[in-house]
Amino acid sequence: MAVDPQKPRKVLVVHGVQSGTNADQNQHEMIRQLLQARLNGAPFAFEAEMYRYENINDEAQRSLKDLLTLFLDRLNISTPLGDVGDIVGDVIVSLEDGKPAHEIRAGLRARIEAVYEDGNPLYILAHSLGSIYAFDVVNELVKAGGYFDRNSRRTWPVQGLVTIGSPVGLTLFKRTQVENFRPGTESFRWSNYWDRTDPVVTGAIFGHPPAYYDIAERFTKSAETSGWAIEDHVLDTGSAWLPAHVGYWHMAALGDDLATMIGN
Amino acid sequence: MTGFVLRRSAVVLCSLLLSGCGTHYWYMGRMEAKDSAGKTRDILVYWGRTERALWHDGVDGGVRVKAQCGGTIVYEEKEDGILFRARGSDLTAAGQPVPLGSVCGRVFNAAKVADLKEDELQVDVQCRPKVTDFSTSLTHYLQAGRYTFQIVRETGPVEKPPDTKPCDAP
Repeated sequence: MAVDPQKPRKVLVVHGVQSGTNADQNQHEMIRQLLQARLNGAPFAFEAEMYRYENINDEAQRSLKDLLTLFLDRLNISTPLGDVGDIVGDVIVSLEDGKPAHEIRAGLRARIEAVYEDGNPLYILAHSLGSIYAFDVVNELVKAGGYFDRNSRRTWPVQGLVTIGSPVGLTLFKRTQVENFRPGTESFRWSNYWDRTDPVVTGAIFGHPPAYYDIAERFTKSAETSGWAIEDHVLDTGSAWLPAHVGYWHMAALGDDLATMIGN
Repeated sequence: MTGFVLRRSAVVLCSLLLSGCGTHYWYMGRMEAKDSAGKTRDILVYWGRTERALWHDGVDGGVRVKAQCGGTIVYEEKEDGILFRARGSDLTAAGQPVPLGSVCGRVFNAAKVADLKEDELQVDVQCRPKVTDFSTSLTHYLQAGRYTFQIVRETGPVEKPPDTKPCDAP
C-alpha cells in the first residue's frame, strides 16, 4: 500500500455548513471546472470528488427540525428561516463534538484511507465548517502513526490541505496547534485562504476587515520541526461580508495555487 | 430593546446591500521569459482589487506570477513586505535546500499590495523548484532572475480573470 505519483491526483472537497441534503452538495464540480480552466490546456490528469455529510447533520437535528417546521408552519412561514435552523444546527453538531461529529470524521477518514489503498495522491480542499473536520482528521492521521514518513511522500494518505473561509482561528472552535510530524525532509503543505471581510473567518459580525495576516500560520511555532508548511493567503473575492464567505469557489488565485500544489 | 434590535437589523441589512456593490479591477502584466525548466513561456503577473464607495475596499493579499503550462508562485504581503517564501519544495538557484519560509523572491516597488499601481513592477526570483518523482510540468515556475513587468489595470469581474497564453499556443 503506497501512493503512486503516476496515478491521477485526486482532490477531495469537503463542504461547510449547508442547508439541503447530501444531493445538494456538488462543490467538487466547481473545483473541477476551476482547475480545468486555470490549467489552460496544460496536460495534467486529476479528479475531483465530494465528501458529503449533510445527511448525518440532518439526522442529528431531526427532532429539532421537526419542532421548528411545526412552529413555522403554524406561523405560515416558509423555508428561509428553516434554512437558518439547518445551518445553525450544523455548527452546533460540530461544537458539541458528539456522536454525529465523530461519525462525520470517521467517514472522512475512511474515504481518505480508501483513496490511499487505491494509490492516488490525495489533496483535501475544505470550506468553512468542513475545514474543522478536515483539520481534525489530518491531525488524527498524523498522530496515529503508520503514515506520514517525512522521508517518503508515498506514505502520505493526504499530500496537502487547502482550507477556504475557515473558522479554524476562532476561539469558539478551540483549535490552536497542529500535531507535529516525526522528523524528516519533506513538509506537509496547508494553505489557508480568507477574505478579510468574511465574518465566518474573522468573527467580525459586521465584516470590518482586520489588519493581521496570519491565522493558520499561528498553529505552529517552528515550521522546520513541526513538518508543516503553513501559508495564509488573503483573497479579494470581489464580494464582502457573508457573500464573501461563499465567494471563494471561482477565484483564479485559488485555482492557480491549487493546480501548483497538486502538480508538485 | 425594540429600538436596539431595529438599529442592529438596519446595520446588517445595509451591510448586506452594500457588500455586493463595487468595481473590481484586475492588475496584470506579461512577458516572455524562461521557466525553471529552461523553456520560453508566456509569464503572467496579476492581482485583484475591489473599490467600493460605501464599504471597505478589498485587495488580494498576494501578487501571483504564473508560467504558461507551469506553476504559480505567490508573493504574499506580510509585515516585512511582499515576499515569495520557500514552501518546502524550493531550492536555491544553485540547488541547495532552502529552509521553509526563507525569502525566495521579493516585490520591490511597495510593502503593501494596495500600494501597487499601474506602473513598472519589479520582482525577483531567487529559487528554483525541487524536482521529485511527484513533479509534473506544473512544478516549474519563472526562472531565477530579476524582472520588470509593465502593469495595466482593467475593469473586469472576479469570474473573468487574466491568464497566460494557452499551453498549446506557440
